[in-house]
Amino acid sequence: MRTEDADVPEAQLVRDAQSGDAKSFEVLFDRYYDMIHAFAYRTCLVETEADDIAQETFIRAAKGLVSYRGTASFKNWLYRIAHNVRLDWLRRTSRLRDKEAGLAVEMESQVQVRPSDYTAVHAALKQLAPDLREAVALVYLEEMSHREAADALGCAETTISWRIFRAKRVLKQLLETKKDGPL
Amino acid sequence: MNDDDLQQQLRKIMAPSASATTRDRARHRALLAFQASSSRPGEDPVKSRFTWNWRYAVALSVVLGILPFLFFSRSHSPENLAADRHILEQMEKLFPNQVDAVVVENGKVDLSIAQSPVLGADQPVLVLFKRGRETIRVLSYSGHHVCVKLGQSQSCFEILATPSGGVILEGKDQVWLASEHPVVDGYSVRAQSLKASL
Repeated sequence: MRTEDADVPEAQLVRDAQSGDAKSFEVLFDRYYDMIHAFAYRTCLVETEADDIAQETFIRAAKGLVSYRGTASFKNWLYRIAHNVRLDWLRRTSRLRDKEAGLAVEMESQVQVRPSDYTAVHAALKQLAPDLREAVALVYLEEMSHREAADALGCAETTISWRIFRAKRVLKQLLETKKDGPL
Repeated sequence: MNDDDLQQQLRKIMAPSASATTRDRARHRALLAFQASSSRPGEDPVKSRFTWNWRYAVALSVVLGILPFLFFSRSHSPENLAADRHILEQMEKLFPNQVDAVVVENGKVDLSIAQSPVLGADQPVLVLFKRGRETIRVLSYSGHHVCVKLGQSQSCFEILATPSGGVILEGKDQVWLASEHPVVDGYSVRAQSLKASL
């Protein structure tokens, strides 16, 4: 991103892009691609899948930009698209999930040969249900409030609160077990 | 392990950056999709901002007068949940999607307002702290982080309404279930969802 692009207000970029200015859309892409890619990775924990989810998110954003009305922030609008892309991706790959789970267990057992805090946290996150992992990614890693996360995912705030509550219990239990148990 | 420890652990998960090739391919495909789609102008944000500022100024100018009236013009027994809900509704009308919490402590009313409107506050909750004649009422929403001065100490907790209508208060190192009528710093605590009760 050029330095002068970084100074252009987001609202201006969105308005220009909605009017058909491809350059403004490109600036928005550069501004938010890393954020969406990181979110995608933290929800699926697989790098190649994060690449696909991030790409599809921006393709859908490009197609749907005219329908964006600014009721949510542009950033949260992108998060919601990424969330929907991830759901579609989960549906498409449902038949492969068992194989992937088996592979994940195999990889995890290999990782445990050289344990570290990182691998313990990674493994614990991997064991969370996808909806809980997504809430954790937004609230703890993207540092959103429960309201913002609910807005980004298009669900009730209580749903996020409840998911975070459950996720914390599971994660604490898993991480404390790994810390206390044999390495 | 407390919440801070957990957050520190979670932040160790660094997301790898996409390669330059991956990023360029995504940009190229998104631009193709952008060019293929039709475009039309959106809402004028300048107009929206002006409207919001005007409403915000009017709300600010009347809120200090209205808030005590709402509290003291009603008989306010601890069970008066309808009055509590009415107060929250009035505050929401003045500050749509911005009310963090209304705290009433021995006649003194504090209103906590978020800096900018956000969506998703759908579960109003009443939390009541009692010690002797002292009563502190907290009107807020599930998922909000609230700090209250209990005696000499400041207690902070997150309010969580459960799908079954219960309320959980999650402190830094402890969780209280409202249904068990816990005692925090010498104050008996009661809490319930205002939505479920009415």
